[in-house]
Amino acid sequence: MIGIIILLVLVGIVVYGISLFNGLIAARQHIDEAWSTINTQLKRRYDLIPNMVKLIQGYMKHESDTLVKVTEARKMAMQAISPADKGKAENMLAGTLKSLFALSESYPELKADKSFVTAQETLSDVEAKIQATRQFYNSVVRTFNTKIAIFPSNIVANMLHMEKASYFELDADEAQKVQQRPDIQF
Amino acid sequence: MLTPRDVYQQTVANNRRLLALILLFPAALSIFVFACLKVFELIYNQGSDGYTADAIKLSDFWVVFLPIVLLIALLMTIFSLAQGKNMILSLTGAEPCPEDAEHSRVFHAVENVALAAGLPTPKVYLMKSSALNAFATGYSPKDAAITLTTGLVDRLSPLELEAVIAHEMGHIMNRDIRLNLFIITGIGMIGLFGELLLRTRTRGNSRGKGGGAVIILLAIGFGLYLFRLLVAPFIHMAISRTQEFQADATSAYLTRNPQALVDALIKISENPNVAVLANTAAFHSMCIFNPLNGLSHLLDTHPSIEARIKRLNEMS
Repeated sequence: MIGIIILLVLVGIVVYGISLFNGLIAARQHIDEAWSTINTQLKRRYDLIPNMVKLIQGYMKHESDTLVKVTEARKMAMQAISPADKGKAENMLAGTLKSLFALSESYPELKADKSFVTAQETLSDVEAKIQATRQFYNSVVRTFNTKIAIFPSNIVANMLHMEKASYFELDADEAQKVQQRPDIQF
Repeated sequence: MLTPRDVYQQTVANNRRLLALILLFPAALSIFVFACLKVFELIYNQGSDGYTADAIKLSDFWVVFLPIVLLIALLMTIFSLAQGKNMILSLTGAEPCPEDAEHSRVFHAVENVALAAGLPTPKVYLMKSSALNAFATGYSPKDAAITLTTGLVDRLSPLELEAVIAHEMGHIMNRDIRLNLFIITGIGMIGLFGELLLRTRTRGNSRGKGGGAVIILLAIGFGLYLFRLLVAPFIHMAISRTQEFQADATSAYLTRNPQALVDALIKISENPNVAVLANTAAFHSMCIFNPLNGLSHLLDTHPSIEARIKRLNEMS
């Protein structure tokens, strides 16, 4: 009788352990999925920038410095892989884009160009979407990090040598700007 | 307090909640009906001079009642599934939102909110009405749709519109539509069975041979009818209000901007009455604001705007 009880308890522990294990694996899977949706949006932005730069180049004779910086920042952002590096590089890129748009203010002809206006609108839509996907990514990272930190799933996580996932951070200032979306005129 | 849950945790929690409801609803119903039966028995035995029916035993009760409860549960599932499939959208006269430049901001808002929630982008429908309201439909996030009135689209600012869409996304994420269909069809079934059983009286012979069984049926019918009339609406109301608070919280969580929802609610509260929606109980709980505002307050599916704003302010 006692043997059966001990056996049942052991089976229960094993089953529970397996479910914790599955939960952790699923949570890590969700992070990968969320990360790939961020990358889809980031790639959209990378794809938009060359056209944008070309378009602006046609209007600007000098000050190509800013354009070079944008192109470089884009290259660096594309090369970054880890969420932390990517976050830093994306901040740089967003900063250079901001100065680019500030510059375009002094070119009325450029601002009147229809394709420039559409490009600008698309870009701010992409930025809003980057923000949205980032938020979702961070929420699943938070779930995962909580799981590997709290009892009892931390035991399983330790056995699997799971490490905390890093958040995808964008500048608070930048986040603010994206949230207000000043570029879109409805 | 706002407890942030991602969509995966939310799904697990909601599946558990639905299971609990499916188990607890019949249990509560059984206890209630049995209590009614006992009261009925007491009254009946007192009224009949010299004649006392056999005391109704628990085992007899189950023989009669269990099939009824199972039948109700089965029909409830079938009907709510069937309704979910082609969720009565056409009743409201809503049409797919045209994908033109004029409505691009609506689509952008829906896409962004869906991305933030980690859910597929729902379809967008527009309903011609100067009133301000919105509701979500669809049995699962995969076939979900959000309907907005044209008045809402015209009068809300981009951020307010996004907050309302995020509230509807909250209903989709929390599977509130599914839960509501279960409850509404369940209540309907209970009422229907109650009425059916109450009518057996006219056909059956209430005294003498076989009187006991008829009395049990009659008493069960009475119990079901009473449950539908007195208890079920309160259960529905309590669940629906919790869902509203939860959807408001989800909106605040998705947009990080509870103030936008507060502003939107204030605008909406001035003119939320949509006549078409008022006729369809299934829609009420899914609307951002009660579409027949100003009628009964005790059993409103929505919490008062003051209570909602108070909670949203606590979040910001």
